[in-house]
Amino acid sequence: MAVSKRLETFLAATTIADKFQPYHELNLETDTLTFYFRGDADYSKRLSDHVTLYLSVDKDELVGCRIKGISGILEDLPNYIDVTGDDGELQLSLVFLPFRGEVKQSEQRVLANLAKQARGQTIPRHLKPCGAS
Amino acid sequence: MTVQVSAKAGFVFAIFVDEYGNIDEWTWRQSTIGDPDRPDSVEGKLLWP
Repeated sequence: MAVSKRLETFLAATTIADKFQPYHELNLETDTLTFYFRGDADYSKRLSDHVTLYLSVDKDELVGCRIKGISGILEDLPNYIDVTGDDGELQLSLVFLPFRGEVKQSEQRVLANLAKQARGQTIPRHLKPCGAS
Repeated sequence: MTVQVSAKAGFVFAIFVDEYGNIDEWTWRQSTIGDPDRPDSVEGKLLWP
């Protein structure tokens, strides 16, 4: 089999997008939460002062987001919603709730989509520096 | 290994730094209409080009 044909076969069987696992990353230094639920090549688009969307380069579809000031949100949420749990974690989808009033009515569907994609993922209620117990 | 890719038309690669020069984020952004070197919806000072 020619090399190009073998490569074609290999690439067809190795679709990175199919194997992508949604993930999120909390960064204490930049006070941000980054969340990706799709593995497409992306670019960013600012939605509001605190929310940046990641959209696929090919189709302009939502693949993730970045939230600035995540520590303030984690600190403030318990004032409005009962987020207490034995495991010390809260649902990731809750962090999108405070921004509903910050974006235009037409863009609230985007936030709802992010919250839907984040369902089932949890984040720690308190941010700690790496290595802190 | 080095991978070189050209930018898609209408996009620029932006590296955001804070006031102390620490890198905050790097990402592709759409360019500003009429100024292809400037990323869209970015506040602050453009250091380069």
